[in-house]
Amino acid sequence: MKIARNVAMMLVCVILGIMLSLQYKSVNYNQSLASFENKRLDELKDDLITLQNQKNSLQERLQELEQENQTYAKVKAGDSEAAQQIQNNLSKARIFAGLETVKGKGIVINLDNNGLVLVKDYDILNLVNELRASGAQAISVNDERIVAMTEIREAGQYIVINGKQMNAPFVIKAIADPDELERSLSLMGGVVEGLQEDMLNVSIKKADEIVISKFIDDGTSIKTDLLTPVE
Amino acid sequence: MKKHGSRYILLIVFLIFGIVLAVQTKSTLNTKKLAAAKTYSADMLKEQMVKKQAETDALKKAIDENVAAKNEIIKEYVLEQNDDQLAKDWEKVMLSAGLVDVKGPGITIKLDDAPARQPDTPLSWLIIHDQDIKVILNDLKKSGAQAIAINGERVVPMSEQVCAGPTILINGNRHAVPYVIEAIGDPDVLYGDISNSSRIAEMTEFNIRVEITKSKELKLSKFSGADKLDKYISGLEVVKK
Repeated sequence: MKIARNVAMMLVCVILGIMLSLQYKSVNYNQSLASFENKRLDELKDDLITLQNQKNSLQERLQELEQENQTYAKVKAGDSEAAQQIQNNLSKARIFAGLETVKGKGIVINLDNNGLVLVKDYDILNLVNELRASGAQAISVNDERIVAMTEIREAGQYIVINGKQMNAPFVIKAIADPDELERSLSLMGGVVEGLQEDMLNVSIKKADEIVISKFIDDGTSIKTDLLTPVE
Repeated sequence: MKKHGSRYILLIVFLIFGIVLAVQTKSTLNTKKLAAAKTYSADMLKEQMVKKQAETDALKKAIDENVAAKNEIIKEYVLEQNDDQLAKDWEKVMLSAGLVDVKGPGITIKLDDAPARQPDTPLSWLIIHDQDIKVILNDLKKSGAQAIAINGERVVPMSEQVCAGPTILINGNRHAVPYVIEAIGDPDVLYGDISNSSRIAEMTEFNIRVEITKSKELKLSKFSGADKLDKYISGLEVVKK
């Protein structure tokens, strides 16, 4: 009798223990499920906001374009102001292409050989790429404007850019926010530090007005004869 | 005494049992209710997303049409000026700066990371870096490429190629492997120079997958920012001489 009672008690306690642990697990699981779903919902909301922003900027862009086109349509009626706007548009493309001499705020980098350590083509290539990544809008190396298809090559003692031979010292000019440019160039482990580690002479100078001359198109260095525009 | 003791134990056991039952029921019911509410709002959000996406697509289409119309007007204007020099000049500007879609003969270079880790080789030698892309682009330009695109991103005067974690930033947009570099130029010259370039040799040495093919006609899209150039020239002022 006593043994049977004790066994029953034990059974009840064991069942209770199992239930407790199951319960604990279940509640925990439910909570993690809830937080996971919350996260998914948040993500969805974020996506929606991003899409909304994208939509808004597209809307703005469309309005601008429609207005522009309305103005342009007046050209046919002989509106000189509209013609002027088209001219502006043409000149924007020329500026972007590097076919206009431009001025603006920026920095001037001097890069020179140090005794037997010579400036290599990849030193200039890296520097130019870093300038582009830091938001430079116009770059020149020894007054040779960097355009889309500008090559930087080493040929014997020379560096050749846009098909023109040049030698150290190199003066690299870039128009962009001078502070931002300086910050990203002098970053720890950045390009300038790399050049200094290579024992080259580098100096950076900020300037309020830098003039960068246009790409001189003599028809030999940048060709477009193989390109056909696609309508 | 002994009898009373076990009765108390039973009481406590059943008390806990009861509480457990109540908490469990509550938790389960609560989850079900919450889940229903969340599914509902998730569905609503998804529906809104689909709607917004459709509106965005429509806007993009309208913008494309307007850009086309704008280019048409500008082209007409240029032609009407009856100035051959202007017309030629204009075409050259648009072509060389990557502001129009172009086609022409050239080569395609496909690059992908090495297929698997190799013992004794550092991982960083098996993957493609911004440096590789930069050097290959410069090699293409040396060999007379006239237009280049990387994963559809047209190379323009200020195109950068910088590392951003496992991806590479080009024209401010992220791109991941595989990289497809298309270049218009003389296919034989480009093919010869690139397949013999030291950078490509280095890459294939470590099993980075490189595939170069010549092609009679490649089509490259214009620069993604071609119709909003203001952003790219905002700090420039023209100097007239």
